[in-house]
Amino acid sequence: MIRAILICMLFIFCMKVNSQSFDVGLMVFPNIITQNELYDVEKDGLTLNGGGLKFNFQQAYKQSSYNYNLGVELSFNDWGNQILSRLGANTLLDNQTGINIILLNGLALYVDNSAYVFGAEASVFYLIKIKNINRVKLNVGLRFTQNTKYKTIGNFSFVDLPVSISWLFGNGTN
Amino acid sequence: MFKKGCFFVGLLLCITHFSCSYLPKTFEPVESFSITETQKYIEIDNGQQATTGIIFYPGGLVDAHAYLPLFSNTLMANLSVKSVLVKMPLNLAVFDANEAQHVIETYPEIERWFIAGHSLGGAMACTAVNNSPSLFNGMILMAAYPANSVDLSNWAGNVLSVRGSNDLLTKQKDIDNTKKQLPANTQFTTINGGNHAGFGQYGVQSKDGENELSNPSQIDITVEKMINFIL
Repeated sequence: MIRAILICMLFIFCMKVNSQSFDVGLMVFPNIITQNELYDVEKDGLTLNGGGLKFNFQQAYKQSSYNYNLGVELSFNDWGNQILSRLGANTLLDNQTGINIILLNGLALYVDNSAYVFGAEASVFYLIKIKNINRVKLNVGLRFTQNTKYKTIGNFSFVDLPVSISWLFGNGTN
Repeated sequence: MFKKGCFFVGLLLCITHFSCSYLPKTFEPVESFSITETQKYIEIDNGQQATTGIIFYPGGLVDAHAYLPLFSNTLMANLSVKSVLVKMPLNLAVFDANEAQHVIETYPEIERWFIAGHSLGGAMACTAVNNSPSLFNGMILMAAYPANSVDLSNWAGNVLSVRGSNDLLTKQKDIDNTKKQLPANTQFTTINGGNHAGFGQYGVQSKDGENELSNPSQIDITVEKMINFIL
């Protein structure tokens, strides 16, 4: 598995770079499903699970219609605070809209014994131009995250509908 | 662009360093209590017809589940009391100090409300009372004192302030310096040998003093004081 990931990354980074950019954004996570092995959590419709800050670095390549991005997010939800890496790819459907897929890996932050968190996110985004350069990115999607060791006992997972707004720096590619 | 990137990554890592929460220790539920959890609250019900409610704000960066042993203590099993622990955004009560108002609206059958808080949660409980004094009959502070901007000296409610003698995070001089901001009839009490973290069950807190009692003993003593105050 690790070898396959390394080969993919080598392939991606050997391609000729067309542009680089980064974005900084704010996220909120309305929650649709919560599963906790330790406690039954009663749900009453869509509830706000948390939110956070994200930072993404992105490279676009001449040979590919996909842009690859690597980022980090600091967010909170029902199990506490977490820091996650964001490794993903996106592609434009037209000049303004596109789709984005991201793998999430990281840690739920606990004082003595931080827990591994993994997940995935798929979203659609819409770009807003300011002075002819793409500057604002609106994202809406579906996101699954799982904490493997909450309270040292059981798994704890969420399905959320993440909504985010980001400011794009760089040359204005999405 | 590289400098901006480094700045944001550095900022995130810096925030991360101060964002680690205290994880609750494993908790064995007591049979006579039922625990109902929503996205926002943990409700502890002992099966009695409750006429009194306690809203609790957890300490800074402490998971609300760490206080389950305090509010599902066997000493509270036969009281007409319902407890509601509020889960705070980022585990910091400062981000949702007025959530108690929504709790009160959620349980209209409760006649008397007390608000309680540990450490930062206690400071925010004072803020909640300052913002809506008529909603509460009393307040319980555990290793906590009001912020400078809060003045409850004319509040008609009763206040109990409990502190562990070995608490090195909430010092006696902090309590003394803020006495004038609390009602004149406030009851101040000290648990000999207790420390800051001993009000919950989340292990050792950084820079705290040693707990000469066991963690369950400090919780039992706190519950006794709380019951005497409420009844």
